[in-house]
Amino acid sequence: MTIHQREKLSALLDGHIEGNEIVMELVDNATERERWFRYQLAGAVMRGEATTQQPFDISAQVAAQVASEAVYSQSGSAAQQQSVWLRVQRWLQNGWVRPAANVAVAAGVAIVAIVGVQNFQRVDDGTVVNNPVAASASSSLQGFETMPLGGVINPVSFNTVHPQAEVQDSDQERRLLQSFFVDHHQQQQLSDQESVENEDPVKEID
Amino acid sequence: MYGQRFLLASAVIASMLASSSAFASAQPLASANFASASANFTLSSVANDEQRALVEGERWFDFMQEALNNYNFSASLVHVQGQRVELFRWLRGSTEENESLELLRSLNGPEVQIVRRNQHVSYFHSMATPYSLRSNSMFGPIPTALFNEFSAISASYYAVPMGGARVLERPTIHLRLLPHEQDRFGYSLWIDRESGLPLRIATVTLEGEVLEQVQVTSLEVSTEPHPDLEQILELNPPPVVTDNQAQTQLVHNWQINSLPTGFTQIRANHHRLPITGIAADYYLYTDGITRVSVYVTEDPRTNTNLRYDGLESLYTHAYRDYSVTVVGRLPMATLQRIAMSVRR
Repeated sequence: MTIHQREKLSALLDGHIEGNEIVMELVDNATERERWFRYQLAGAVMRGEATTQQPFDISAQVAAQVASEAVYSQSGSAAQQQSVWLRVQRWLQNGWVRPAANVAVAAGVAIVAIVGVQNFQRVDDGTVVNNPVAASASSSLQGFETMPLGGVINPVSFNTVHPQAEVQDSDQERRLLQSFFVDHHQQQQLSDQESVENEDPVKEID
Repeated sequence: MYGQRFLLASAVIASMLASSSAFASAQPLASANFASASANFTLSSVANDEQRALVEGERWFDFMQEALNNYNFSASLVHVQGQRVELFRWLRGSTEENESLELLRSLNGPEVQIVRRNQHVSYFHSMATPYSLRSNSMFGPIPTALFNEFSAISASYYAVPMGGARVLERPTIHLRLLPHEQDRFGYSLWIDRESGLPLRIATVTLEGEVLEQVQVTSLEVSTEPHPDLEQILELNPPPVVTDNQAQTQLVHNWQINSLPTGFTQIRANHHRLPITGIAADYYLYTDGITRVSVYVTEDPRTNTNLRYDGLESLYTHAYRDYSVTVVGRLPMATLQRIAMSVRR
C-alpha cells in the first residue's frame, strides 16, 4: 500500500470519503487488514474509548446483521456492494480478528500503566478532604513520582489473567497495591532526606 | 503527548517480555552457584575462631564502604530481580574541590538517570517529572546500607567471610551478611580484594533462594574522576521535594507489639497515599539494611485480605474497624506477624 493509499484508508476511517476500492483492497490483503485494525485501535485509545472489556471480535454480530439484510437487486452498483459485503463476511468468519486479541491485551496493560502514571498524587476519589493538614501534605508532594528503575510501576500490572467476573475486583486490588508500594518508596526516600536534614539543617546547594 | 506515552508503555512491555524469556535459562545457573557457596559454609565451633572471623568480616565491610565513598571508578552492572534484567552504567568520583559526584544510568528500556552531587540526589525518568532529594546515597540497585559503616547494621547482622571466589577475573572475598534472627533476608557480597569495591551483590532468603542480584560486568578504577561526571556540575537540578508530611501528627497511638528485633522507628506521620488517597497513620522502621512500612487506616477500601509476594511483599490484616498493611523486603511470615500484632 502506498502512502497515498494509507492516507485514503485513514480518511475512510474518519468518515471523510466513501470508497469501494479501498475496502476491496483491505479485504484482499492480510497486512492491510491488520493495519486497519491498528488504526482503529490507536484511534480508540486516543479518544479514550478503548477498554479491556470491549469485545473486539464483532464478526458474529456482523455476520448476523448481514444475514438479516434484504437481498439486493442484481443490477449495477448494488450488486457490487453486496459482493463486498459477502467478502467482508467471509474474512470476518475466517477469524482475521484473532491477532487483534494479543494487541488488545497489550493495549490493556499499556493503558493501566498510563493511568497509573497520570494518577500519581491525585486525590480524586470523591471524598472531601476535611483535614487541612493532610490535604496540604498530599498536595505538597506534587511532582514527586518515584518510579522503579525499570519504568514499570509494579510487577502486579502484569497479572492479566483473571476470569471475567473478577476483572473489576483485580483492577481495584491493583490500584491498592500500587498505592501502597509507591508510597512505601516515597516514604523511604523522604525519611532519608529527613535524617540528612536533621544531621545538617543548613542547606548548601548552589 | 498521549500517543507518545502509549508508545513508550508498549515499548516497556515489549522489552520486559524479551528480557524475561532471555533470563529464564540463566536463573538455574545463578542459584546453583549460590547453593554450592552456602554448602561450604560451616561456622567454626571454636568461639575464638568465630570471633576472629567476624572481626575480619567487619573489616572487609568497612574496607568496601571506604572504597565506595572515596574511589574514582566507572562500572557497568546487571541488576536481576525475578524475571527482570536491567543494565546500568555507574560512575563515581571526587573532584579537586572535594565534591563527591555519582551517576547511574539505565542502558535498556526507558531512560532512567540518577545523579548525585554531594548530598543532592536528582532522579530523571522518561515517564515521570524529575525531582531531587537530599540524601547521602541514591536509591538504586546498590543497597544504600553498603555506603554506611558496619556499625549501622551490626545490631542485626553478622559479617561472615566465606573465603575467596573469582568474579570479573578478579580475586574477591565472599562476605555474607547473616541476620541474627531468622525473620529476614541475608545478603552476599563479593568484594574485590584489591580495590574493595563490591563486584557482585545478592539478596538471599533463609532457604538460599536468590531474590535479587547485582553483577558488575566491567570496572575501571582511575586516579581522576570520569569526564562524564563533570556534566553534573553544569546540571541545573530539579527542585528538592518539600516534605510537609514529616511533622504531621498520628491520629491514634497504635501499639505494634511484634516488631522484629533490631528494627528502630525512623519516621511516623499521618498522610494520604498516592493514587487512592487513602488516609493512614504511618510508621517506617529499619534494621540498617531493610525498611518496613506499617499503615494503619480506617478506610473501608483496605478492609480486604490483600497480599502480594515478591522481593518486596505486602500483607494486609483487616481488624473489626481498622486494617493494617505492612510493606517491605521481608519474608511474608514476618510481615504477617507485624500486621497481626497492631492494637489500638
